[in-house]
Amino acid sequence: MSFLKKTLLCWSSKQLRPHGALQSSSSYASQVQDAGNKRAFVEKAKCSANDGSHPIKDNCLMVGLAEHGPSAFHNIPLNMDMGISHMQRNTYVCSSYATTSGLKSRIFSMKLTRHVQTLSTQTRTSKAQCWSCGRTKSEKGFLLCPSCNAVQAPDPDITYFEIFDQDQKFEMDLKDLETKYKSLMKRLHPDLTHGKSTEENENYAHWSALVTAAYTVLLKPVSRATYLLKLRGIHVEEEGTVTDSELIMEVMEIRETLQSKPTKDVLEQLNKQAMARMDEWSRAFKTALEEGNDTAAVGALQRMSYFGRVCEDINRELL
Amino acid sequence: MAEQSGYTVASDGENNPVEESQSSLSPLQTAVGIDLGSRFCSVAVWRDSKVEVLSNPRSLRRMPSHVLFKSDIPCSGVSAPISDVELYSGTAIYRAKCLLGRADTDQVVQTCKNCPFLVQTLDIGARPFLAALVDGVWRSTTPEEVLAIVLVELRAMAEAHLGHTVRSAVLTMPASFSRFQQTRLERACAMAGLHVLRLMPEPTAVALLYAQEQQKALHGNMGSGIEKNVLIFNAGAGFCDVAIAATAGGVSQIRAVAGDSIGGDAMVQNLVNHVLNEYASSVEGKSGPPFSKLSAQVVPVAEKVMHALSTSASAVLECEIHERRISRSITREEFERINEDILKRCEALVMQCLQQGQTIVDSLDDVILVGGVSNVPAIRSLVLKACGGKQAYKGFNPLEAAVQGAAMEGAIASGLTDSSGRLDLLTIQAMPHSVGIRVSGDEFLPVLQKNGAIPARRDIVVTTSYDKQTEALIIVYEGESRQASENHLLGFFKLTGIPPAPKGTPLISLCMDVDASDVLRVVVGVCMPGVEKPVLPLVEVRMPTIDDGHGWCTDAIRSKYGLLLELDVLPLPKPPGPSA
Repeated sequence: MSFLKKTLLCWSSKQLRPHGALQSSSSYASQVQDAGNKRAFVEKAKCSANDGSHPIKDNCLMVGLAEHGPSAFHNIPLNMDMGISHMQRNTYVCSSYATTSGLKSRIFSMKLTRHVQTLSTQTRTSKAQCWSCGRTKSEKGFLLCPSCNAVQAPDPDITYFEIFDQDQKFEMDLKDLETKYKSLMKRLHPDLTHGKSTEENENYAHWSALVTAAYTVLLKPVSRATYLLKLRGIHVEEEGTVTDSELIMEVMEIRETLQSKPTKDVLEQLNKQAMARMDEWSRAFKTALEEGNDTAAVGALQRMSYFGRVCEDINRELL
Repeated sequence: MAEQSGYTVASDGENNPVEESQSSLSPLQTAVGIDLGSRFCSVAVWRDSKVEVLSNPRSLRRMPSHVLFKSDIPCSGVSAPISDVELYSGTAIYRAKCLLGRADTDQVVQTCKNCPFLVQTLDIGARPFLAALVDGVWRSTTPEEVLAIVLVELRAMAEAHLGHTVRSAVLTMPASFSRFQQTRLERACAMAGLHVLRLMPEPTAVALLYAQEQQKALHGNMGSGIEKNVLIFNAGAGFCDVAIAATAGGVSQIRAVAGDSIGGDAMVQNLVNHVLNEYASSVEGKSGPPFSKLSAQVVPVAEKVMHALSTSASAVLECEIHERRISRSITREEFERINEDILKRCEALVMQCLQQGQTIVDSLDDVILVGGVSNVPAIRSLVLKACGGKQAYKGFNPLEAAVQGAAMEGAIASGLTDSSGRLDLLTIQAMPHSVGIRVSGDEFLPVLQKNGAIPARRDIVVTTSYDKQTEALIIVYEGESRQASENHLLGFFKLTGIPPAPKGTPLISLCMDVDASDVLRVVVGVCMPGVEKPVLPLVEVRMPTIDDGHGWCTDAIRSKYGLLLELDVLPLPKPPGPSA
């Protein structure tokens, strides 16, 4: 039977069985505890939102984040981008329900994806130990157990930067990133993990999915910047609207030119212009981040994504 | 998961029938690599630390992939030689790969109507009717069946060479193949008793071969593991594919891949049409068999002319039409002018790949041209020119590179290791098409983007489009158009029992997952604000679900339900924070 089917069966059996029907009682206990923690978190968020004495609801999600740290969300590394942004949307709808439901949709989509396995694998053995030989984890990445060489489930707290052993900053050596991505994939890609146990194969699948997601996010300046801000607790809507009239005028002009069936030379000129603006705002973002000026950083990021999309449109026309 | 000794039902009744029996085979049985082209096919296997392209009893390593329906048992070009007369008599079917999984409205199917065998269409989006002439009777068949006959013979040939049964294979496929066409190809393999371990786009198989070459060179001179960018252009009889791969340390990552269903057959057909039109205008009002039937007679001659033009500046096309001998000299320039459109499309593919792979031509280390049609001088020069005037890479046999790559992938995916480290390779595949759903009318919302690395997974949240909506239809498409209906339909399913609520309130979470074996799954669940758990059981669907690549399904749905089952993107509130 193929690995795929095993995983599927394994997954669906976990999905279908009631909560407590996992193999060992200890895993059951820890799972319930884990689920309990999450529920408590949700309840807390709900309480703070429903409590009439506090008129401001907007930041309740942020409170939740601060209390629990990123870990509550790092369980869902792959879907973080979309999910968080939706959550943030809901937060600013100012509906208390929306806030908690956004959160729930996160927890829920954890169930949706096979990350549910990550959770159950982790709860089965203590999080700080190797599932195979029981050795205590020392470093954060802990990809392979140093003593028994078994692959570990991804640490939910690990950031995308840590995965690639990069500093948490905006500039990135893309060559180095790619090299590290490839060498990681070489060890983790499900194609290459034959003859391993189901447990290990699951972990490999999680890792490779996580590494791919991390790589995708870090590769592009806009998504990298968004992620950086996210790590600082600021959630920026990539497609957010900007009210800077000068910027809007410029973008409008470019789009108008695009629609008027321009020649290749004009297009290339436009492309250069957009790229230059992109660079400019990337530098502005970097500076703002280094200075800790979050407001400026958010503004710069939104402009970056504007010009990023303009560049895409130009390139489409260039074909 | 408990070990059960009972029967297990394979996930899909149609495909992978032999998977269960694999465990009883020797664990190190290597999957063979098969390159099943529209005109030629070949099979290779990893043996004794190298790829061996197998040859048939007539010592052919590259065999024609047509099927001859002469006797009770149809036979393919793998086992039996065939004369040109027989090939174009209607008894033989070729181009089955071009017909595979296409609706009868498809342009490619329409051009196949010129073939001597029967391709009948109703132009409604159903499967075309395919038949071969056997003793004066049109005998119906399907493209899957035709391919399965070829595959069975390839498999028998490989078994004879290897001395054991062959159960699994890695197949190459055109990059433009939709997921639906892939299932059809898997179906053909299942009919031939082969388990498909992987389907890889043809240029990515070549990329794997290139990665191995790089590794070898590295072992030889102990150079550093520098990254190499390579553009691979593959053109065959029916399809043309381009891919850009970044290779370092035995890992090749596919940066971008693109394909189109154009190729040598189309070029030959253009030439034939050109000559026939010229003839028609010279003898006006001449009655005779319709052109489409005539063209079948000219095709073999035109093919020879095309081959000749690859090496010489002009060639003579000689044929007989209506008992009149035609002798027409064709120059290379003329041939290129006739096929200007195809050349343009080839160039567009290369440019598209370069752009989407965000590769500037200066960073390309090598340009590899493979496939029979890459010998056409005009195509060669345009690809090389588009890549900044580079020289073509000379290390590979252009006709065997794809099958060799497939054989290597077969060995790797079978878990084989090699002491010399020659199999210490990995290809990170990319999504050849975007996959997404239909929202807000006919808008296509991509969930997984084209050229994203595989395995890929992402989820999005959509919502209802009107108040108290209780049912919604999830329609999954594959393609790049912003209009959903212009893309390729993969399947649809209905979500029922959504609690009635104002529009935009229910959160419909949709997750798409493509695993390492390129299986696409869509998981959908519904969440309501203020409710802890998903309100409905999750729905998990393996795509594609539709059994034919027809577009009229969605039209039928629209005419029956209108906007009743519509989905919407979650409304965007004003973004927070400083937007200056």
